Amino acid sequence: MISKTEHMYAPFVISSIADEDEVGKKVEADLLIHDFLNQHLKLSTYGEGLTGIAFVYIVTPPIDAIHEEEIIYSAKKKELYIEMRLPYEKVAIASEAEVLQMMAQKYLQTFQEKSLWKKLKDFDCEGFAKDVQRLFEEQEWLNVVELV
Amino acid sequence: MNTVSKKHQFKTEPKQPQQPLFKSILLFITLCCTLGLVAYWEGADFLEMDETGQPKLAPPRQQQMEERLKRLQRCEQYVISARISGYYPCYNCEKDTTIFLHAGEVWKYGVTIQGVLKRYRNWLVKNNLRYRVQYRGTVQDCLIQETLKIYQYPLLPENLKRKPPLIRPPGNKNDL
Repeated sequence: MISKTEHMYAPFVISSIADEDEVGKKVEADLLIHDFLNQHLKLSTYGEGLTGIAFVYIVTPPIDAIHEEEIIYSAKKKELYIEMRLPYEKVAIASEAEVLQMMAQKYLQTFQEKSLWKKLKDFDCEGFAKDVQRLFEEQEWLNVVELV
Repeated sequence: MNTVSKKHQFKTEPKQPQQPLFKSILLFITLCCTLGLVAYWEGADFLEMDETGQPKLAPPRQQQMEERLKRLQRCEQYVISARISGYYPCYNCEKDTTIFLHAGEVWKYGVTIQGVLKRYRNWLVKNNLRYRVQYRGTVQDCLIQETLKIYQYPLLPENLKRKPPLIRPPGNKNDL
Protein backbone atom coordinates (compact mmCIF):
# COMPACT_ATOMS: atom_id res chain seq x y z
CA MET A 1 0.00 0.00 0.00
CA ILE A 2 2.62 2.53 1.00
CA SER A 3 5.18 3.19 -1.65
CA LYS A 4 8.53 4.35 -0.31
CA THR A 5 9.94 4.60 -3.81
CA GLU A 6 9.42 7.28 -6.39
CA HIS A 7 7.39 4.90 -8.53
CA MET A 8 3.73 4.11 -8.94
CA TYR A 9 2.25 1.63 -6.50
CA ALA A 10 0.86 -0.55 -9.31
CA PRO A 11 1.62 -0.94 -13.02
CA PHE A 12 -1.85 0.39 -13.84
CA VAL A 13 -3.08 3.22 -11.65
CA ILE A 14 -6.58 4.45 -12.39
CA SER A 15 -7.91 7.32 -10.30
CA SER A 16 -10.17 10.33 -10.59
CA ILE A 17 -10.46 13.98 -9.70
CA ALA A 18 -14.03 14.99 -8.98
CA ASP A 19 -16.21 16.98 -6.64
CA GLU A 20 -17.39 15.44 -3.42
CA ASP A 21 -20.93 14.95 -4.70
CA GLU A 22 -23.07 12.37 -6.53
CA VAL A 23 -20.87 12.61 -9.63
CA GLY A 24 -17.83 11.96 -7.46
CA LYS A 25 -19.47 8.82 -6.14
CA LYS A 26 -20.28 7.59 -9.64
CA VAL A 27 -16.68 7.81 -10.81
CA GLU A 28 -15.52 5.61 -7.97
CA ALA A 29 -15.91 2.99 -10.69
CA ASP A 30 -12.30 3.87 -11.51
CA LEU A 31 -11.35 1.22 -8.96
CA LEU A 32 -13.00 -1.50 -11.10
CA ILE A 33 -10.92 -0.60 -14.13
CA HIS A 34 -7.83 -0.31 -11.94
CA ASP A 35 -8.24 -3.82 -10.54
CA PHE A 36 -9.28 -5.27 -13.88
CA LEU A 37 -6.26 -4.00 -15.82
CA ASN A 38 -3.81 -5.05 -13.11
CA GLN A 39 -5.32 -8.53 -13.09
CA HIS A 40 -5.38 -9.07 -16.84
CA LEU A 41 -2.46 -7.21 -18.37
CA LYS A 42 1.31 -7.05 -17.94
CA LEU A 43 3.12 -4.02 -19.26
CA SER A 44 6.25 -6.04 -20.01
CA THR A 45 4.28 -7.84 -22.74
CA TYR A 46 4.43 -4.67 -24.81
CA GLY A 47 8.13 -3.83 -24.40
CA GLU A 48 10.48 -2.37 -21.86
CA GLY A 49 9.41 1.24 -22.37
CA LEU A 50 6.84 1.49 -19.61
CA THR A 51 6.67 0.20 -16.06
CA GLY A 52 3.70 2.30 -14.98
CA ILE A 53 0.66 3.97 -16.51
CA ALA A 54 -1.41 6.33 -14.39
CA PHE A 55 -4.73 7.38 -15.85
CA VAL A 56 -6.68 10.02 -13.95
CA TYR A 57 -10.21 11.03 -14.98
CA ILE A 58 -11.16 14.66 -14.46
CA VAL A 59 -14.89 14.90 -13.85
CA THR A 60 -15.42 18.41 -12.53
CA PRO A 61 -18.01 21.07 -13.38
CA PRO A 62 -17.20 23.68 -16.06
CA ILE A 63 -16.31 26.22 -13.36
CA ASP A 64 -13.14 24.23 -12.70
CA ALA A 65 -10.22 26.13 -14.21
CA ILE A 66 -7.47 24.25 -12.39
CA HIS A 67 -7.47 20.73 -13.80
CA GLU A 68 -6.58 20.28 -17.44
CA GLU A 69 -6.06 17.32 -19.72
CA GLU A 70 -2.42 16.38 -20.03
CA ILE A 71 -0.09 13.58 -20.94
CA ILE A 72 3.30 13.39 -19.27
CA TYR A 73 5.77 10.74 -20.29
CA SER A 74 8.96 10.14 -18.39
CA ALA A 75 11.35 8.03 -20.46
CA LYS A 76 13.75 8.00 -17.50
CA LYS A 77 11.23 6.61 -15.03
CA LYS A 78 9.42 4.68 -17.78
CA GLU A 79 6.13 6.07 -16.55
CA LEU A 80 3.18 7.60 -18.32
CA TYR A 81 0.84 9.99 -16.52
CA ILE A 82 -2.44 10.88 -18.23
CA GLU A 83 -5.26 13.17 -17.13
CA MET A 84 -8.37 13.08 -19.32
CA ARG A 85 -11.67 14.83 -18.87
CA LEU A 86 -15.11 13.22 -18.96
CA PRO A 87 -18.09 15.51 -19.64
CA TYR A 88 -19.48 16.44 -16.23
CA GLU A 89 -23.05 16.98 -17.41
CA LYS A 90 -23.23 13.61 -19.13
CA VAL A 91 -21.78 11.80 -16.13
CA ALA A 92 -24.26 13.59 -13.89
CA ILE A 93 -27.25 12.09 -15.72
CA ALA A 94 -25.71 8.71 -16.55
CA SER A 95 -26.26 5.51 -14.60
CA GLU A 96 -23.31 3.89 -12.80
CA ALA A 97 -23.05 1.25 -15.52
CA GLU A 98 -22.96 3.95 -18.21
CA VAL A 99 -20.29 5.88 -16.31
CA LEU A 100 -18.14 2.77 -16.22
CA GLN A 101 -18.60 2.41 -19.97
CA MET A 102 -17.66 6.05 -20.50
CA MET A 103 -14.52 5.60 -18.47
CA ALA A 104 -13.53 2.44 -20.33
CA GLN A 105 -14.20 4.09 -23.66
CA LYS A 106 -12.12 7.15 -22.78
CA TYR A 107 -9.25 4.96 -21.67
CA LEU A 108 -9.27 3.04 -24.93
CA GLN A 109 -9.67 6.14 -27.10
CA THR A 110 -6.63 7.72 -25.45
CA PHE A 111 -4.41 4.76 -26.29
CA GLN A 112 -5.77 4.52 -29.83
CA GLU A 113 -4.42 8.01 -30.57
CA LYS A 114 -1.47 7.67 -32.91
CA SER A 115 0.04 10.90 -31.61
CA LEU A 116 0.56 9.08 -28.31
CA TRP A 117 2.17 6.11 -30.02
CA LYS A 118 4.88 8.37 -31.41
CA LYS A 119 5.76 9.73 -27.99
CA LEU A 120 6.38 6.39 -26.34
CA LYS A 121 9.67 4.64 -26.85
CA ASP A 122 9.97 0.86 -26.85
CA PHE A 123 6.31 0.28 -26.11
CA ASP A 124 3.84 -1.44 -28.44
CA CYS A 125 1.00 0.99 -27.97
CA GLU A 126 -1.02 -0.44 -30.86
CA GLY A 127 -0.85 -3.97 -29.44
CA PHE A 128 -1.72 -2.66 -26.00
CA ALA A 129 -4.75 -0.76 -27.33
CA LYS A 130 -5.97 -3.88 -29.17
CA ASP A 131 -5.71 -6.00 -26.04
CA VAL A 132 -7.48 -3.36 -23.95
CA GLN A 133 -10.25 -3.19 -26.54
CA ARG A 134 -10.67 -6.97 -26.57
CA LEU A 135 -10.80 -7.14 -22.76
CA PHE A 136 -13.21 -4.23 -22.43
CA GLU A 137 -15.46 -5.71 -25.11
CA GLU A 138 -15.55 -8.99 -23.22
CA GLN A 139 -16.72 -7.03 -20.18
CA GLU A 140 -19.30 -5.22 -22.36
CA TRP A 141 -17.78 -1.91 -21.32
CA LEU A 142 -17.73 -0.51 -24.84
CA ASN A 143 -21.42 -0.81 -25.60
CA VAL A 144 -22.34 2.84 -25.26
CA VAL A 145 -20.53 4.71 -27.99
CA GLU A 146 -22.28 8.05 -27.91
CA LEU A 147 -21.48 9.00 -24.34
CA VAL A 148 -17.92 10.31 -24.60
CA MET B 1 55.80 115.94 -7.67
CA ASN B 2 52.72 114.30 -7.72
CA THR B 3 52.67 110.98 -9.13
CA VAL B 4 49.61 109.51 -10.33
CA SER B 5 49.42 105.89 -9.89
CA LYS B 6 47.58 104.19 -12.45
CA LYS B 7 45.19 101.71 -11.33
CA HIS B 8 46.23 98.32 -12.34
CA GLN B 9 43.85 97.10 -14.79
CA PHE B 10 43.11 93.43 -14.93
CA LYS B 11 42.24 92.20 -18.21
CA THR B 12 39.92 89.38 -18.15
CA GLU B 13 39.69 87.01 -21.00
CA PRO B 14 36.37 86.92 -22.64
CA LYS B 15 34.27 84.09 -21.37
CA GLN B 16 34.37 81.07 -23.61
CA PRO B 17 31.03 79.50 -24.28
CA GLN B 18 30.89 76.32 -22.09
CA GLN B 19 27.71 74.91 -23.47
CA PRO B 20 29.23 72.36 -25.88
CA LEU B 21 31.56 70.95 -23.19
CA PHE B 22 28.75 70.72 -20.65
CA LYS B 23 26.61 68.96 -23.19
CA SER B 24 29.37 66.52 -24.00
CA ILE B 25 29.89 65.67 -20.35
CA LEU B 26 26.17 65.21 -19.84
CA LEU B 27 25.95 63.02 -22.89
CA PHE B 28 28.92 60.97 -21.68
CA ILE B 29 27.36 60.47 -18.24
CA THR B 30 24.03 59.48 -19.78
CA LEU B 31 25.77 57.03 -22.07
CA CYS B 32 27.71 55.55 -19.16
CA CYS B 33 24.51 55.20 -17.10
CA THR B 34 22.68 53.51 -19.95
CA LEU B 35 25.56 51.15 -20.65
CA GLY B 36 25.87 50.48 -16.93
CA LEU B 37 22.18 49.73 -16.67
CA VAL B 38 22.28 47.47 -19.70
CA ALA B 39 25.28 45.66 -18.23
CA TYR B 40 23.51 45.45 -14.86
CA TRP B 41 20.38 44.03 -16.47
CA GLU B 42 22.24 41.60 -18.68
CA GLY B 43 20.56 38.25 -18.09
CA ALA B 44 17.63 39.98 -16.42
CA ASP B 45 15.21 39.26 -19.24
CA PHE B 46 12.33 40.11 -16.93
CA LEU B 47 13.10 43.83 -17.29
CA GLU B 48 12.73 46.20 -20.21
CA MET B 49 12.81 49.96 -20.87
CA ASP B 50 9.64 51.71 -21.90
CA GLU B 51 9.61 54.50 -24.50
CA THR B 52 10.42 57.13 -21.86
CA GLY B 53 13.44 55.22 -20.60
CA GLN B 54 11.74 53.98 -17.47
CA PRO B 55 12.20 50.36 -16.44
CA LYS B 56 9.19 48.07 -16.76
CA LEU B 57 8.44 44.36 -16.47
CA ALA B 58 9.03 42.38 -19.65
CA PRO B 59 5.72 41.19 -21.22
CA PRO B 60 6.20 37.49 -20.33
CA ARG B 61 6.88 38.42 -16.70
CA GLN B 62 3.89 40.78 -16.67
CA GLN B 63 1.72 37.99 -18.08
CA GLN B 64 3.04 35.59 -15.44
CA MET B 65 2.01 38.03 -12.73
CA GLU B 66 -1.48 38.47 -14.19
CA GLU B 67 -1.99 34.73 -14.50
CA ARG B 68 -0.84 34.22 -10.93
CA LEU B 69 -3.33 36.87 -9.75
CA LYS B 70 -6.10 35.10 -11.68
CA ARG B 71 -5.18 31.76 -10.14
CA LEU B 72 -5.38 33.26 -6.68
CA GLN B 73 -9.03 33.95 -7.43
CA ARG B 74 -9.78 30.36 -8.46
CA CYS B 75 -8.57 28.18 -5.71
CA GLU B 76 -9.91 24.84 -4.53
CA GLN B 77 -9.96 23.09 -1.19
CA TYR B 78 -9.74 19.33 -1.48
CA VAL B 79 -9.80 16.17 0.56
CA ILE B 80 -7.60 13.18 -0.15
CA SER B 81 -9.02 9.95 1.21
CA ALA B 82 -8.23 6.25 1.22
CA ARG B 83 -9.52 4.40 -1.86
CA ILE B 84 -9.29 1.02 -0.21
CA SER B 85 -8.81 -0.11 3.37
CA GLY B 86 -5.15 -0.43 4.28
CA TYR B 87 -2.11 1.24 5.78
CA TYR B 88 -1.20 4.79 4.82
CA PRO B 89 1.56 7.21 5.89
CA CYS B 90 0.85 9.08 9.12
CA TYR B 91 2.58 12.24 10.25
CA ASN B 92 0.58 12.63 13.46
CA CYS B 93 0.69 9.16 14.96
CA GLU B 94 3.47 9.76 17.49
CA LYS B 95 5.91 6.87 17.06
CA ASP B 96 3.96 5.10 14.34
CA THR B 97 4.65 6.14 10.79
CA THR B 98 1.60 4.45 9.33
CA ILE B 99 -2.08 4.24 10.14
CA PHE B 100 -4.84 1.86 9.07
CA LEU B 101 -7.57 3.71 7.19
CA HIS B 102 -10.85 2.23 6.06
CA ALA B 103 -11.91 3.01 2.49
CA GLY B 104 -13.22 6.56 2.31
CA GLU B 105 -11.53 7.82 5.47
CA VAL B 106 -9.73 11.15 5.32
CA TRP B 107 -5.98 11.19 4.84
CA LYS B 108 -5.41 14.88 4.17
CA TYR B 109 -7.08 18.24 3.58
CA GLY B 110 -5.40 20.75 1.31
CA VAL B 111 -5.65 23.79 -0.89
CA THR B 112 -4.32 24.31 -4.40
CA ILE B 113 -4.28 26.91 -7.15
CA GLN B 114 -1.94 24.90 -9.36
CA GLY B 115 -2.79 23.43 -12.70
CA VAL B 116 0.26 21.75 -14.11
CA LEU B 117 2.98 20.27 -11.86
CA LYS B 118 0.38 19.48 -9.28
CA ARG B 119 1.23 18.65 -5.74
CA TYR B 120 -1.35 15.89 -5.48
CA ARG B 121 -0.11 13.89 -8.44
CA ASN B 122 2.53 12.00 -6.47
CA TRP B 123 0.14 11.11 -3.67
CA LEU B 124 -2.38 9.67 -6.08
CA VAL B 125 0.02 7.54 -8.08
CA LYS B 126 2.30 6.49 -5.21
CA ASN B 127 -0.46 5.64 -2.76
CA ASN B 128 -3.97 4.38 -3.21
CA LEU B 129 -5.67 7.70 -2.57
CA ARG B 130 -8.63 9.58 -4.00
CA TYR B 131 -8.87 13.35 -4.69
CA ARG B 132 -12.17 15.15 -4.19
CA VAL B 133 -12.91 18.87 -4.39
CA GLN B 134 -14.86 20.18 -1.40
CA TYR B 135 -14.90 23.92 -2.06
CA ARG B 136 -14.00 26.46 -4.78
CA GLY B 137 -13.33 30.16 -4.26
CA THR B 138 -10.58 32.65 -3.56
CA VAL B 139 -7.39 31.57 -1.79
CA GLN B 140 -8.56 33.24 1.38
CA ASP B 141 -11.91 31.45 1.33
CA CYS B 142 -10.23 28.12 0.60
CA LEU B 143 -7.76 28.60 3.45
CA ILE B 144 -10.68 29.28 5.79
CA GLN B 145 -12.38 26.07 4.65
CA GLU B 146 -9.16 24.11 5.04
CA THR B 147 -8.62 25.48 8.54
CA LEU B 148 -12.16 24.53 9.55
CA LYS B 149 -11.74 21.02 8.18
CA ILE B 150 -8.35 20.41 9.79
CA TYR B 151 -9.31 21.76 13.21
CA GLN B 152 -12.64 19.95 13.22
CA TYR B 153 -11.13 16.67 12.05
CA PRO B 154 -10.72 15.33 15.64
CA LEU B 155 -14.51 15.44 15.98
CA LEU B 156 -15.16 13.10 13.05
CA PRO B 157 -16.55 9.71 14.10
CA GLU B 158 -13.77 7.95 12.18
CA ASN B 159 -11.25 9.70 14.44
CA LEU B 160 -13.16 9.57 17.73
CA LYS B 161 -13.11 5.77 17.66
CA ARG B 162 -9.29 5.77 17.65
CA LYS B 163 -7.27 5.46 20.83
CA PRO B 164 -5.78 8.00 21.07
CA PRO B 165 -7.54 10.18 18.48
CA LEU B 166 -5.43 12.24 16.10
CA ILE B 167 -5.17 16.00 16.43
CA ARG B 168 -5.29 16.41 12.64
CA PRO B 169 -5.61 14.14 9.57
CA PRO B 170 -2.80 11.61 9.08
CA GLY B 171 -1.50 13.31 5.95
CA ASN B 172 -1.46 16.88 7.28
CA LYS B 173 1.96 17.55 8.78
CA ASN B 174 0.85 20.90 10.20
CA ASP B 175 -2.36 22.72 10.96
CA LEU B 176 -1.72 24.84 7.87
